[in-house]
Amino acid sequence: MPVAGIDVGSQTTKVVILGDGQVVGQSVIVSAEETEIGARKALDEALKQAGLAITDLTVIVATGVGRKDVSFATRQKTSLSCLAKGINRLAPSVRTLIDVGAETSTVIRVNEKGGVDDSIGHDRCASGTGVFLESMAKLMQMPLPEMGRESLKAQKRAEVSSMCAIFAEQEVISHVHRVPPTPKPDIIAGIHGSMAVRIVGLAKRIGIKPEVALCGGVAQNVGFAKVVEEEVKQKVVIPENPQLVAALGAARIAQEEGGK
Amino acid sequence: MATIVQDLTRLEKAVDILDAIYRHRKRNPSTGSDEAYYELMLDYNRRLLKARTNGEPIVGWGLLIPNEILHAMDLIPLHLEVGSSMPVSILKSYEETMAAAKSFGLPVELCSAHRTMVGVHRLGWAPRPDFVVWCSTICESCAKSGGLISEMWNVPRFFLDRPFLDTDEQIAYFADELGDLIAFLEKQTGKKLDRDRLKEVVAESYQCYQIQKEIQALRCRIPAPVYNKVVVQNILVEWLYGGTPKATYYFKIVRDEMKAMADKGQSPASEKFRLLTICPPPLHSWKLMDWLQNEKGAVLVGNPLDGRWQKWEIDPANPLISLSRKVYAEPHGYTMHGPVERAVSACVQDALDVKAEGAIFWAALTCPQGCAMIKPIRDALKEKVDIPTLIVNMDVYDPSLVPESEMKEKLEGFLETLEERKLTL
Repeated sequence: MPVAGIDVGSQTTKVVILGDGQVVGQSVIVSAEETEIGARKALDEALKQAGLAITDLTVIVATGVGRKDVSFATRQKTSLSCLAKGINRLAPSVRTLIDVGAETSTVIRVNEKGGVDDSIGHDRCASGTGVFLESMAKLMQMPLPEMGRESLKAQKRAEVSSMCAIFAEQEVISHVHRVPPTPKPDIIAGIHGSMAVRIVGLAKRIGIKPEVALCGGVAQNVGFAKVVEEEVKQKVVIPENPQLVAALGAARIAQEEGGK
Repeated sequence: MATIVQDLTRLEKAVDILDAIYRHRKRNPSTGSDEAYYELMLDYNRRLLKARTNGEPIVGWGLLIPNEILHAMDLIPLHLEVGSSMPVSILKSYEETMAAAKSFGLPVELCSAHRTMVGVHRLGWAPRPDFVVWCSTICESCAKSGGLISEMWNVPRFFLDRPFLDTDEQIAYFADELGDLIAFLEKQTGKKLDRDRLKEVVAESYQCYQIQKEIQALRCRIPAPVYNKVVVQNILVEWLYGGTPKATYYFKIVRDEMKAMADKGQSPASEKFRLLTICPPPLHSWKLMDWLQNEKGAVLVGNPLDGRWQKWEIDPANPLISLSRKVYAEPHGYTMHGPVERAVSACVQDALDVKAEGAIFWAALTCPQGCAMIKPIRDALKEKVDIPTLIVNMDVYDPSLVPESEMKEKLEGFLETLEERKLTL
């Protein structure tokens, strides 16, 4: 019996549909409009992929910041539980999950059953989140995906503050205007380093237990992922679709609660 | 410093609102403790207004200085950190008072309780104290702000030097400080302290301590006969009235209420989670306490930093030594003033006593004192009791820093993980 998990984030809505325990449909859309409409659009896209109708779904679990606005969801769960379930399904050996989204970053200690042993979040400040990278991309006059690839050419990381997005921005500007200017790849590596230091510092507060995984939209940035590995001093697992981990976890919970 | 223009209209409005709430409680009884709480808050603020009208002296009184001395001398206190700020909470005038504090030069990173206090006095909303007494207790803001208030009003001041530890020598030292304080009060008011009366007051205060120990024990019952918001109300009553017969009156009601529920195996709402609450929760959002209990079944059964008294031994013949010992036995005085190990051990022991399943640490963003304890307490609760701790970033006084919806989001996530833990344990 098919089930669905919907993750309504601050910038994107993600859906995963499970049928007979397998992923049969998924989608990621930019949620420019009202939550309910965006969630329905994302679900419709995933249903189309799966060749199903909404009436075929037995359970729909909504998660993310906008979960309470999804009126057609049968159940709501917070992101913590869904992220843990999701990564446990994809990589059961992961014990520390770092999720970096548009506006928040969270670290979760996951147990072998996909439960949350401990967690810590960072939601008071832009630094360490996707919006910080977006503003840096504008500063560097470069699309985000290109920023990630460019940083891999760095000779070394430029010093960029990990304390505050505003300070970091000022430092990047001074790097650009230096004589001679700091090479762009080094600056971008420094930007990634600034984020990674902050987030890994957060993770250390609850302890980092291997294996470590990275998810959320920012995990798609290859340069950032590399720096995170350097900071945690071990290989980091990055799922194929890192944005979909919470939606997958929500779908898995839906499956456990009623679907097969 | 600029002259302050007294404007007690806000305090008068706050009294009107408290009066309306109290009358409503009497017409529509909920709990005895709730009614008694509003009765005491109304009485506190009315007394201040009346004192100003009648020309009676008002003493600016810092945190955790024994109220017994004031009561024995029939003096009217204006508790600087809490009493000054009460109208702000009632009237929700946070923006105005924070703006006043900011224009005075206090940065937003400073403790919001003290910014609120300074803002209130700067605006003239609190009655002018005739003199100010404060103490080096708990944190640097407490140690500094009393002096600032006395400068703002240009009134005499007395500073109590409280030692860090409670060895016999340091207890004796603080008792001497209290003796000097009495001499100061006698000089300022022309009233002489009756030492025999002080002994009686201390003996009565000891009874209240014993009642609070009973309350501590009743919290261990399963289900816990505890109203979440009473956790907050108890803190405020203790600070404003602790050591006086009115505190004894209130805590008796709380104890009897709890005992009646405990004897029937009842609790205010269906208990799903037993939690420790660490540091004061947001005082601007009591609804959050109700929501936790009534909608989520999360009961704040343990409050080690606010409600866990240490052993207080009195010396009937020596009231000042008794009071000096009291400030170190009092929950905040023991856990927040001295070495952090005391706070850690209080949290661990409380968690074991009440069989807590998790803990909520209310991390006030502008409190370096409190936030510095997060890691040692969190780690100890994990290692020694095997319970998780949720850190909720918030502010005790200022609702604009972290909205209630954000706190609820975090709390819901935490309760979900606790629920899963219970299934797997």
